[in-house]
Amino acid sequence: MRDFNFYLEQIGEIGFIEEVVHSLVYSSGLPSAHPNEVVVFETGDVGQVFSLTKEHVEILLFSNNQLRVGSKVARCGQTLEVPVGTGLLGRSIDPLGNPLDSRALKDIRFSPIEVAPPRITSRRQVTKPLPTGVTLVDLVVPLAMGQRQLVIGDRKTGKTEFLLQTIMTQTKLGTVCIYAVIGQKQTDIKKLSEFLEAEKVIENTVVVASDSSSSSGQIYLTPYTAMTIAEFFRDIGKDVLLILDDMTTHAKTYREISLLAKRFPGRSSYPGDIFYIHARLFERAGNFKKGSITLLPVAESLLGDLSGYIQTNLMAMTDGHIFFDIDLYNQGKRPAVNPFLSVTRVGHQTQTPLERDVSRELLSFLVTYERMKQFLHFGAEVGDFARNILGLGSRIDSFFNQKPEVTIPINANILILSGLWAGIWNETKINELTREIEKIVLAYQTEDLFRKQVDEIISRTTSFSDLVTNLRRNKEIITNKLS
Amino acid sequence: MYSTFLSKIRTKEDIQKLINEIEVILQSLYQKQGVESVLKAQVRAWVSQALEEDWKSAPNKEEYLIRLKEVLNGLKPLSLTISFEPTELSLEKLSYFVKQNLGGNIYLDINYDPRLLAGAIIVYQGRYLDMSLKKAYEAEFERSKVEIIKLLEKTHERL
Repeated sequence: MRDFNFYLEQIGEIGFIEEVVHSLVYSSGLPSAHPNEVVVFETGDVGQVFSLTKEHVEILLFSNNQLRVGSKVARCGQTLEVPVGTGLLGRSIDPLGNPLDSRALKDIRFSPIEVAPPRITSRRQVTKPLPTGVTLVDLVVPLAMGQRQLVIGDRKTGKTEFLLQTIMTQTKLGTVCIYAVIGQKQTDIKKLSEFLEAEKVIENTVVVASDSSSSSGQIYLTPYTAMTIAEFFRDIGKDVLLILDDMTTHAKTYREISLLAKRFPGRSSYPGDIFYIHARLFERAGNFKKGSITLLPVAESLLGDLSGYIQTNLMAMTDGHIFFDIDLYNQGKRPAVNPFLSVTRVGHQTQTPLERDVSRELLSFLVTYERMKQFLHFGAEVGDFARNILGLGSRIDSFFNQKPEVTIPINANILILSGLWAGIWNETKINELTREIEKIVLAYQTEDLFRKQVDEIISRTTSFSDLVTNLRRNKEIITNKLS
Repeated sequence: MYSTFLSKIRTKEDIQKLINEIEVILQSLYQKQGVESVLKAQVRAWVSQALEEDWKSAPNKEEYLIRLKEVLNGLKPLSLTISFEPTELSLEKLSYFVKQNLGGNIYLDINYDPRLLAGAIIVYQGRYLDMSLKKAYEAEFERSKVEIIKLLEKTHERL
């Protein structure tokens, strides 16, 4: 971007600041300004035309600097563009594309931030699964490449840990991961960068960050910048995982801007176009001819209330949601995903017949297990059937408990679950069970022969009951790895 | 109706002075001293004369004065940044030229910046035009930057 004098000479139009209201600037002049056009002030600050009135041009400022009334402003003659390219991999940038580590960007070009979502003819059916490495999600609420899945829950319920596990799994499979941090604390952004570097996944990741002290304009821009970068990688044939953390902060920031701009407040004081602001962004994700953009927007709920305005808006424009339950978190479950309140609308169609069968059986069992646990509260005596259900249920609970730094491949999950179902660990204590499961996972990840054997068994089997029967007959497949 | 006043307006200061006089007259409309004494003692002669002429056909003086203020506030500024402080004659010529070519609803907002050397920077209705000598010199320096630097280096070596 050139300086103020360059654009003043080139365009030949000038404006003068008449009023400054927090992040909105009202300017006179600029007769040919159009909406979303970039403007530059004589101080070097950058803004975007938010709206036009008869007397003024309303400009959204992208910096926190205090501007003086009477300062000059010039049009740039173009809409906002951000840098995109392979040179962004491994880097952290702000929503305007400036690197946060002050090193220059290479191998980039500029792309406009506001584009229309692709039409129906350029879209493809969702067919490939997206493994997250998180057992509970991969088995019960599976995701797919090109899906938009909302991650919703109260604060501090493990949403970010889940997203990082997904990044760790996907980067190993060659997916480009883009993490948009929207108005979070600077310490959280720093921790995120350090985590990505420590896990050696930073080379395939781009971080677009705006912290809570950034201007409202920059916070508002963050997810759009991230989506523009995702579209570049999609267009060169890559699969992209885009995480927007979090959209409730984005909605609050847009509410702040709209109220300052004296827009009429709607429900909960949000502006009337709050749905459009998010929907036009989410529609840019999906499965396409060249590549896919899998979108995981994050939403924060209050005390587990899924019926909030923004939360229901986001649920309406996504292909499902994963609900992180504060009650489950308080019970010590990690991840605290509630499988009964989580939904995946397109994930199951990408599963193999075996995976679909596993999913169905598991969910059905979990419902029965929950009912049994309720039954226990009455202090009634339990028969053998109930005892078996409760025993298996507690083992499955223990199996689902997963440390945040651990990711487990789907086939390993299916094998272990089938082993549990087959009764291999019926006599094993819960703490022992955890250790033995870790051994199986380690063996799968490190021993080629074992991995091939397991993959072959699973690819040959089409139903869960067949797999369980097979393991009952051939327990040594698992027990050999436990000694 | 207000043509006499508009023809006398050249600069922002002229407008401000006239508006101040109108404020004084408006206040005097309902005071004991009366409008006549204010017109004789506190307002310029040409203003009193023009008002008395117009009031013959405008029965409501208050409405006339309020409307005149609105017209004066609605005049469009043409900002002119020049490198010298203009004389009355220069101002008159400039104002006449602008009104002939752009219409009578314009006043001049004159700014003084000697760094321009010559020429002017014109800003009108959001349009910006830099016709100063400073810009021409800068453009020339930018074009011949390399040769000028070589020349300066040669001179420095000789010295």
